[in-house]
Amino acid sequence: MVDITMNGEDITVEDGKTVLHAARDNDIYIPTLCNHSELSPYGGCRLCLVKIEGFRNYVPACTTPVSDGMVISTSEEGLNDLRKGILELILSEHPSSCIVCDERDECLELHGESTKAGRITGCRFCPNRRSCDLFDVVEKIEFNDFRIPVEYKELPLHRADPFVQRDMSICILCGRCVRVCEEIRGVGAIATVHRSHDTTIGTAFDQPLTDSGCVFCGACLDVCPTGAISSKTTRWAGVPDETVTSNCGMCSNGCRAVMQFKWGKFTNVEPVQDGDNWGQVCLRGRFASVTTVNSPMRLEYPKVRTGDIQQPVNWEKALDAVVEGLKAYSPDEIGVVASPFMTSEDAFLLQKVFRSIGCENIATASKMIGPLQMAWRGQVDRITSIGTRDDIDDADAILIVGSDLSLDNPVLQTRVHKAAEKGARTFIVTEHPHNAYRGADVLEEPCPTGLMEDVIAALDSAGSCEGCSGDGDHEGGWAGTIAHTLMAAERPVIMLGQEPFAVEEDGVAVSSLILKLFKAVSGKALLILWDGPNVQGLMGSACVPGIGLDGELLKEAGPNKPPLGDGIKALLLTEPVSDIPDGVEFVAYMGPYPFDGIERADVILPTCTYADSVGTIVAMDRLVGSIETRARPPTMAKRDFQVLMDLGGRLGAEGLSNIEDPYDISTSTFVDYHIGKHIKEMDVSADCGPVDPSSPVNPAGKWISGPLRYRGLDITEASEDLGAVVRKWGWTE
Amino acid sequence: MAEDLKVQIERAEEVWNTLQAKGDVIYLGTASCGIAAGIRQVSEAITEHLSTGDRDVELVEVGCIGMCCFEPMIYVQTGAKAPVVYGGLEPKDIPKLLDGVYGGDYENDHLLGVIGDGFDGLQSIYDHPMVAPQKRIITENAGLSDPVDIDHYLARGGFKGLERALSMTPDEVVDEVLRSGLRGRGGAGFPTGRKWALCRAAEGAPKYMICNADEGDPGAFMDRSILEGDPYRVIEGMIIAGYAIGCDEGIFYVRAEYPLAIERLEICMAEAEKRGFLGNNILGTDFSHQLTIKKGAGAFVCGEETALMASIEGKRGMPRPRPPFPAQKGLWGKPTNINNVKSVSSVPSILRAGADWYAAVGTDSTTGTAVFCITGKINHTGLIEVPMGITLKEIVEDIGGGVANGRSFKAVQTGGPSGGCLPADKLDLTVDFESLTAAGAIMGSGGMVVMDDENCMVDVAKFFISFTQYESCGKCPPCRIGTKKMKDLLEKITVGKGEDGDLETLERLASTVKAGSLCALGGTAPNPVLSTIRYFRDEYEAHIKDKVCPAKACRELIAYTIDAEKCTGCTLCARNCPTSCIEGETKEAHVIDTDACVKCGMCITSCRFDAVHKIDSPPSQCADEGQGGGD
Ligand SMILES: Cc1cc2nc3c(=O)[nH]c(=O)nc-3n(C[C@H](O)[C@H](O)[C@H](O)COP(=O)(O)O)c2cc1C
Ligand code: SF4
Ligand code: SF4
Ligand code: FES
Repeated sequence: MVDITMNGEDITVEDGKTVLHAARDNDIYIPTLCNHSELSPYGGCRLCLVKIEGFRNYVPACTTPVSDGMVISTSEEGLNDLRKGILELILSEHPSSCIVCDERDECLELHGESTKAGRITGCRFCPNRRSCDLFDVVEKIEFNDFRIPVEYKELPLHRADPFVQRDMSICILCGRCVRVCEEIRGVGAIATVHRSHDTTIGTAFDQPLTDSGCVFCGACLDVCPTGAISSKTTRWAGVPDETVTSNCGMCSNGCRAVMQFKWGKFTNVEPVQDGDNWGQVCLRGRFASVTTVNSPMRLEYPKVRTGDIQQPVNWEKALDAVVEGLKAYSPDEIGVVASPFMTSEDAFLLQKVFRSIGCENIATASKMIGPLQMAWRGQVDRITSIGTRDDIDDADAILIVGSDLSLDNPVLQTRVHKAAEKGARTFIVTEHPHNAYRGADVLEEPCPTGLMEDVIAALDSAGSCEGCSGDGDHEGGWAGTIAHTLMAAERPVIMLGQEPFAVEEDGVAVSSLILKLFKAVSGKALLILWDGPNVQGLMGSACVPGIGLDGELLKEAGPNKPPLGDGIKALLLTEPVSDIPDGVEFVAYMGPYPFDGIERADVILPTCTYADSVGTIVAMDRLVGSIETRARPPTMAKRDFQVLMDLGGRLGAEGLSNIEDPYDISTSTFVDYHIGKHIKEMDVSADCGPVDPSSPVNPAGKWISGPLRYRGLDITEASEDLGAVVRKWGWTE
Repeated sequence: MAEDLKVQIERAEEVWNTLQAKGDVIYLGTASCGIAAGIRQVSEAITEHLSTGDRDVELVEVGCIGMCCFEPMIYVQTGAKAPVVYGGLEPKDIPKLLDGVYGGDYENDHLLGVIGDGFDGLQSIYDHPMVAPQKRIITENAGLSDPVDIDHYLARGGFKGLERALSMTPDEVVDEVLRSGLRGRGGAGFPTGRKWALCRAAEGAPKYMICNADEGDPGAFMDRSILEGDPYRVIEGMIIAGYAIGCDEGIFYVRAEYPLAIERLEICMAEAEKRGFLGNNILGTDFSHQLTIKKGAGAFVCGEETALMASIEGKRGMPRPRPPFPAQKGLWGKPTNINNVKSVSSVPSILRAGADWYAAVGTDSTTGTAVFCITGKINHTGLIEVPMGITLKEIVEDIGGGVANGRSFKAVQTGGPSGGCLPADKLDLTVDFESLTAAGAIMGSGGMVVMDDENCMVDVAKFFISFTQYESCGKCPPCRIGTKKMKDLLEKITVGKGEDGDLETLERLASTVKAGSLCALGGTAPNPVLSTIRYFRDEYEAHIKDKVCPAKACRELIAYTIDAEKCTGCTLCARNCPTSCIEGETKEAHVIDTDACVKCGMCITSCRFDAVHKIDSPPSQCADEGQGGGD
């Protein structure tokens, strides 16, 4: 602690804090523009200048650490004039009508409406939509005296990039975007370029963002204090009339995010600053989500087949048609597919409805569960990640197998970057190396089984390598190097992605190697990057064969009739499958989007997305999150929950009467399941054997999953920009 | 260790003495200035001429002696006599000159003086008006020895400072530098000893020592001359600094546009290492020190210490606020000391001759010498080293030989692009950090430009602010935008569109830029504007109120005219005019069509009868209308 004097008051401040921190902690206002709490201090905008005794010149509060006995004035004579002078210079190149115009008050009333101008010539058209730091500073220091000529920079608009538009004419060069990209995301796609008055923010050689290494996380847009960088999808939407903090439902990372709505329409996603995702979201969650949810492809009407035609009908008729259709078959002939995009409650309800009519043929549309069950049962009590994402932050070695993080769980890269900055060596083994984290050793491997076998084989010699710190290269090439690094590490973290599960046998092989490796190196965390946002949740919702409601793996033999297997004649799908078997006679599909093969459906029940649903999901590191959204579903679409309740009623399912909303299910039924907390972790040391080899597992099969899918929909169809990006990154499905 | 050095020195002295005693030697001034002026061609002429006779003459390349206005220069040594300096040579002058000298006739138009005592009625070069008032410490060897020959350096007292330093404790060395009163010559004048002590005391390892040889000021070439003319001195200074501060590594940050300096440094570093002055166990002691060279990409701002370090780290060369100071958190986050070439080069002399000796030179507050490049409208341009405390008048009138072409003195600008312009009545000012700053100029890194009555001070201010604006790194708004606005306003004034209030706006902007900028580039950028407003306000007012440029330099405000009385009708101007806007019959007075005239001044230069003149003219009406934009 150090003692300082600020504006005549004696205050005590924690060592290492800056003058700005000290001021803020004591409610003393100092204007800032370039400063950002999550970024390194910059000292560029010069608005936070203060007077400190002993310094010849004014010094920036944001970069100056306090020291004992410092005597500071934040408001002495002349300082405010200097700040106004600097602000005047900034504003002389910035559209400032909203700031100094006589009619600003009237104008501000309309300010929140949707933007109609591509180029910003006045704050009315600014895409920043009223969250303007510049504006706030002008208000606070009461700037109103403009005396120097105004001159806009008139730089060309950057409109050709996916997702974002850049209008550097209104950039104030605070450098926040550059810092967030470099420091938090570890990308460094943009930089300060040119010099003198021509200084601006851009990419190297002015190349498009798609060539600059940009991951389209949109972090720059969040920190930009002006509207210089804006989201193409939302810049037209105006100020939201409703916002709610909810979970993103795109991938298993389960980011908390602020969902924004206007007139019942989903308009934008922004990260939660202090959430588990470090104030970050990703390209799918922020950009592709909005166009996916608002896609014109959304199913709008319940439909029933008559002859060759799927005829729009009302809900009564559609639900009756389902009941009718199913009644023609014995429960044994009915198959049910649960979508890993559904909430845990909806999934529970789904199986409950069908189990109550005696149907047990229920499985989850995930490619990962089955192989993991086959590889791990007998060694573990349940299948979950071990540890949490926080363990990445202070890992000293990281191995990621089967994912480059760029599309599935991109936000994790911020943590990997943090660990790498602190010295953790990181290996990424993936078939999509093109945009993987630049701070890692990236190994292109279409199938990692061979490499993993070599790593395991190298473990023995690595264990006996004396004084090994894991640095540098080792005998045995990459396998040796990975083995040495993990062995030498004290807190190694291993992540398993979805790539190897494209082929069932590879999935089984890699799963068992990963577990072996994890045990051998005494890993700190093992994170399974599931192929859907709620795969983990569905394992605890009785939607996976061989796993009980409490998430425990079953050891005994049991009925194992895959919902798409022989003898199935009727299907209820909540997630599309790539190939409906010929023997199936009746298909009911419930979901938000059409799919290849929807012609086979006899009944179509249009449901909702995560932007218009309610419930909980479980992220890849076992964290329970809640979906709480406000979008108005298109036309006649209904939430899965509502449809299942209605259907259950008609099918005579029991125990539904005391369920009013989804949370009635989670609170009364799920074990150790609380929003914001982690569910029980898998135990690798438990005595789990023996397991009856014929005990059921989730069928591997014709599941369509992958980072480019949302409830079966190829989201590059809903978001052309996403398509452009992933093609550039070398992805083809 | 001392034994070894002694042997080396003895051998070096032998080499040196042999050279001195060897009858015929011609020394060639081959610094960049000499090369630019044509020493290579002169040297070819010498070789060619000598090949016709049978004299065995040795040619030795030396650095710049500082009398750049006389380049290319050679010093001819004959018999046991001291070398005689000749300047302003062309290849065609060589045969006659050498024949004369070798025939015993030393005198001709090119003669400048003898290096050493005069003889045969010849004056010593040290009595030459350009040299007499100088005090050469940093430049003591420059131009007098082969810069890359380590024996020359040793014979002239080289590495004795290092030897003495190594016999002291590092703290004693720091103390010695502190007592010498040496202040940083990079511009700010921070006491070098204090800086070293701070870095020495700082916690952290490794520590770095950086020699700042970025020298981005237009018209400044002191550091280049020193590096080219006496590289061993800078290397010795770096090693002593490394020892005193406790640095493991020293780095020369040299701008890439100085290839000769870099080449010589490389050669000399290798040689010094071979001789045991650099590398491991220097002179047999436990002290080891490595030196490397990092080439700068040539941005002015990269001379600023924090930007310089960012540049070495491979980042964009942008300054950052201090604290933390480099001594606390410098290169790669480690304690770092940065000194200018001249500061570093002063150190060997201080250690060799002692702090008291050094402190006796100069004034109480600013000891030692100042190295300046004097340029502009002056008779003797070049590189000079003068004791601190000398007056500007002595520099301009004695050393500089007064204003050239018989024009009258108007101002002297010190401190490079961010310095200030001082008028005639400030010429009695003494040269030291405080007095120049108080007068609105700065010591800066040592540029000095003399201006005469043909220089418009508004135009001069515009020139300098355009430079700083162009070199602004763009990080902070006061510098990035403020200098642009100032430049725009000056532009407006010089084209005759100035309005009431513009001066006040300029002053207001200047104070925002000065007080608000992050680094000293912005912090000092307004100096040329403020000092010209302070001392030449009437000139600004003439532009603004009367729309005239008293110096007749601002193109928009003047017109060219031909004095019919003086014009002989020789047609020379008409033939030289690029737009053919001069009319007139042969042998009759010519007339300029002012509408078509582009004011290039070719007519004035070509007229042999002083018949073309510049007169005041109203600003052209059709120029672009002011500023655009607006909501
Ligand atoms: C824009 C700018 C350019 C500078 N350029 C140089 C330079 O070329 N050489 C130099 O030695 N110092 C330069 N400096 C000063 C350095 O920041 C630093 O103060 C100096 O190198 C310290 O050395 P000294 O203590 O020996 O003076 C510059 C400063 C600024 C603000
Ligand atoms: S684009 Fe925005 S965040 Fe980036 S420097 Fe400009 S104003 Fe700052
Ligand atoms: S004063 Fe100029 S050069 Fe220095 S940091 Fe600011 S913009 Fe860059
Ligand atoms: S907030 Fe401190 S300089 Fe910008």
